[in-house]
Amino acid sequence: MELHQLTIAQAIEKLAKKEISSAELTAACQQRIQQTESQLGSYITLTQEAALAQAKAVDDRRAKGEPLPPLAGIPLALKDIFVTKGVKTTCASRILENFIPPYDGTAVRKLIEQDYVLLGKLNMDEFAMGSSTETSYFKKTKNPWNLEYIPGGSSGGSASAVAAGQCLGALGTDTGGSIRQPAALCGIVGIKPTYGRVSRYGVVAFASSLDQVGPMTQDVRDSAILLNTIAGHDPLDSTSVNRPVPDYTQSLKTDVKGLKIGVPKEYFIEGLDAEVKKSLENALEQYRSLGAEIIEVTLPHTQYAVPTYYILAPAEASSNLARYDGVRFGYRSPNAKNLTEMYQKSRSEGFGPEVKRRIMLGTYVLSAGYYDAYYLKAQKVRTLIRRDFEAAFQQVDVLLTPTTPTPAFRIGEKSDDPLKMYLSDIFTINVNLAGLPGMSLPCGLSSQGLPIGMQLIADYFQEEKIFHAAYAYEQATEWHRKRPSL
Amino acid sequence: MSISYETVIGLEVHAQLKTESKIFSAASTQFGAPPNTNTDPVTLGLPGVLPVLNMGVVEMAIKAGLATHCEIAPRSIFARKNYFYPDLPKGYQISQFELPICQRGWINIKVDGQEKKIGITRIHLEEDAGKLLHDFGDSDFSHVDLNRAGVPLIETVSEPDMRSAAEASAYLKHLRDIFVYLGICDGNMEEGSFRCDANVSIRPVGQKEFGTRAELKNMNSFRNVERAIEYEVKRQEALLADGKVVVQETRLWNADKGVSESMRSKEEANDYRYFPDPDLLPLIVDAKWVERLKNSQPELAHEKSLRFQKDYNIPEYDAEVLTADRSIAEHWEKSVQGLKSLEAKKVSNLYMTHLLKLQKETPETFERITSEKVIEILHLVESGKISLNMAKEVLDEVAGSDKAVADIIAAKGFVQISDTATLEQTIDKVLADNPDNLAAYKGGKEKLFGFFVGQTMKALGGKANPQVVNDILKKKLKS
Amino acid sequence: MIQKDTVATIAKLARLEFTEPELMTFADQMNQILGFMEQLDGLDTSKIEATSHAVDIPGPMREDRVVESNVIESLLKENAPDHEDNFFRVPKVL
Repeated sequence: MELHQLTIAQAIEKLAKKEISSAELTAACQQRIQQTESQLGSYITLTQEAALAQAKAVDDRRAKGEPLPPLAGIPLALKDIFVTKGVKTTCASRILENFIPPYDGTAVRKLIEQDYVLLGKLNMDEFAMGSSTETSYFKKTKNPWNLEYIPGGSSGGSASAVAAGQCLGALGTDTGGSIRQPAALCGIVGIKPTYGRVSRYGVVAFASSLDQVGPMTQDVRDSAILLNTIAGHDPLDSTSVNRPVPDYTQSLKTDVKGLKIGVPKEYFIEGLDAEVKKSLENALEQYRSLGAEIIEVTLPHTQYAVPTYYILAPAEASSNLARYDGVRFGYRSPNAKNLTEMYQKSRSEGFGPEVKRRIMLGTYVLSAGYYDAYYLKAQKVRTLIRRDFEAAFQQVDVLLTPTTPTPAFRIGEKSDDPLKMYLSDIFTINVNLAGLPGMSLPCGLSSQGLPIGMQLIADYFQEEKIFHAAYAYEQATEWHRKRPSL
Repeated sequence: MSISYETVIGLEVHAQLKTESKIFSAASTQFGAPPNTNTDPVTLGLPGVLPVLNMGVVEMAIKAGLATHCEIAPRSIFARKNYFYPDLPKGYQISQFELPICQRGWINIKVDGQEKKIGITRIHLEEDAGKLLHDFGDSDFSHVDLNRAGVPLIETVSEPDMRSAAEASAYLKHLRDIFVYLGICDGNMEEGSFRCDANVSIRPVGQKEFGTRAELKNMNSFRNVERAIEYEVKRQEALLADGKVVVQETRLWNADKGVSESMRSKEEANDYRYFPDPDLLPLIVDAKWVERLKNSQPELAHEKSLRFQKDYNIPEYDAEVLTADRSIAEHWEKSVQGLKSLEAKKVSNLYMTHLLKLQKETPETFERITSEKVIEILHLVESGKISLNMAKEVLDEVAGSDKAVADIIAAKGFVQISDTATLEQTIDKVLADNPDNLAAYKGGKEKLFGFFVGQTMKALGGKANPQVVNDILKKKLKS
Repeated sequence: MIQKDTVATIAKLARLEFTEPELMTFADQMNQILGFMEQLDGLDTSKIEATSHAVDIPGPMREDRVVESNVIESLLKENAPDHEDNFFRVPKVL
């Protein structure tokens, strides 16, 4: 096995035993990037020298016998939505093309405290608005399983990089499925924790009441390791919840006897790809054979999730993106002759079409005369969607659903039809609206060799149940060992 | 016959709260810092930052609400008010819209001896914007200073209960006094820590419906508020007299020209798209917190004045002067309570004629005159060791140096002679030295009493206790 | 149905500018998306309270204390599109 293929857990062990050095590991990832990046386009920014220097510094300290935190010397990468002090943070937008933040966000700071190695910043949909990483201002990222296909989005660069071994693991963000959907389409593990579990401070905001940070990794154990590091209360984020963080690796158990798994019937709809459906049925069979109890449940308001989401998220985004005005940082149009033009031209030239579309939608639904019909209505439907889940979790421990209705689609296939693109998030959006934790993990490959993912959802702050169910499945199957032949 | 109109005024008052840090971040609020230095990532609206509410701000808002008889909302909501302006870093202002922290209050004002209750619709929390400089450096540009951005404000919205500029001014002054008394705002209109917009309309006397209102801005003194309102009322009356209509608009007061100017041309149709701020959870104020603040609420000027009149038997005028400034009122009361026999009225005179002047003229050294010092000095007056006039001079010295009271008195030679034996001796000598005057006095020329007092004082270098001298002289002259 | 001039008004509010053909495209797309949202109309939500936040806890508060921050210098130097002395500079506000 090559070094860049190691899981985080394996690398931690080998580093501790001094079988490998962080410099070797980092260099292996960098070499892998060099080999594959021209095909994949996962990264926006590479921090090559700083990464090697950091790796060597950790190696020196290890050689001296200094006590080191678990993630010391582990090469990871970050979606370019994470604010990193001194390292360009673009959010894949022209408007932040040259933005060098003067501060670190909380999740990043926690990784820095662990002495991690930052390989670079990963491509994404502009401002996380998209499901295919095609809206990035800089480049389109390819799916490492088939370069003609999208990697999913918005954390498509993260999913592609992890699947291709360009880093050992990555952080993404998920507003409507942006971790889970690309994880599913690239055959890796991605978890969106409960809203409030991980601080949003220092994460460029898309839709504040829906955004959440989470790890994207090769397997379930790595997911638990990274979540252990980044979870926890942050006094700088008012929506972060002050609740102890359990050691999620303690939940990695293979015995699921008596575990109640709910299957919402509304998710097995027309338009669900036959191979995806088959993979899910196989997974259910797998669980059954492991001793879990499968229960059909109902989430009656599922069909309203997409319209609800595409009112609330753009509304919040239209306000969150007002700060990109060309005054204090970011792009200012050189063509502006007065103040009004400074605003209009900087924003029109700085934002891409999908971002503008959402700003327009959001501005419209909040504007006088429409607020009640759209925004307030959607907030009320959000309550109904939350209640659906609350009722379901009276009956079951976790819910199991497909992550996406289909495997990855072709580049360009949906980019001209916004509504069609929005519907590709149909199974993940509910979870954000409710604020619940959800994980996608690999559960099959299509006949074309594209990964298929399944989603486990649990009640608030019950990530442990997800890790438990996911690990049991993973250990009983081989899907997580499959890697693209790139 | 001309119609007579009634004026209807409602005020919106913005008061900057005197916290150390900003409403949603830990940046300093200190006035006068170099441009943009009171900033941090939150103030600057950098990508990824989040607001966290300052508890001190909430506490001050509750105090304001309690002092104005408002209901304190157990749950209130922060909303975003969206608009673009270079002094607004995030492109929205965090404010309160649907559920403010205080609602339904009132205060009493007094105009021409008449009391009147003015309703307060709401008091809500919000953040201030930064400042734009239009005449710095290159004249093709404006310059943005964000030091003020994020400074906490409370906006107090009155009911349209005022009927004249004088009432509006009285309301404004009273509100300011309350906030200053509470120690939550320094109330400086010129520096902008206390700002007022006025909604003014007129209607024919007897009509119930309100007329169309104009919103007046940019009035940075009490005087200008009155002038602007008076001007606006005349303007609206003239319009109606000409058969024209009043249009709803914002008008800027130009104090130099003494006129207001329409802002319509500059103002685009605004749609603020208020919605609950997803970054801030509901502000929950529990009843215990309110109760605790209620119990620690200071006595306000008006109540204090009434109590001073009753408890210390001082005139209304004195009580009002003393209570206009909370620190002086507390200073005075502490002094009076530390004394044994000196009348409160005398102490009030000392404050009004002397200490208030010192406080105003030399505020920096006035701090040295603590109530303890005043008590120490007035004890000497009570025991007859020095006179009230001497006391004033001693107080001046206390303010001007760190010397001990005893040393000041010694240095000045301020030892009042009250010792009866010494005084009797001196008086006997004065009477013996002036037999003619003594005879004249006894013959009915009582005016000469003053002569004997003067001679005695002179003989003792002005240090004799005049009260004791009087008493002894009276006794001796009778015999 | 949203007309082109509504789209233009919204664009102005959002400080975005579009060409005529772009306005037409946006109007079409917004109509399609808003039409899709109409399915919410079928739900009776008259007795349902709104959800603004995914977490249902009181908002936290911090102590009134100043924490020094030194980001302004590097922001002005590395990121400000235009500045003069310690100020951000913008085209004249009339």
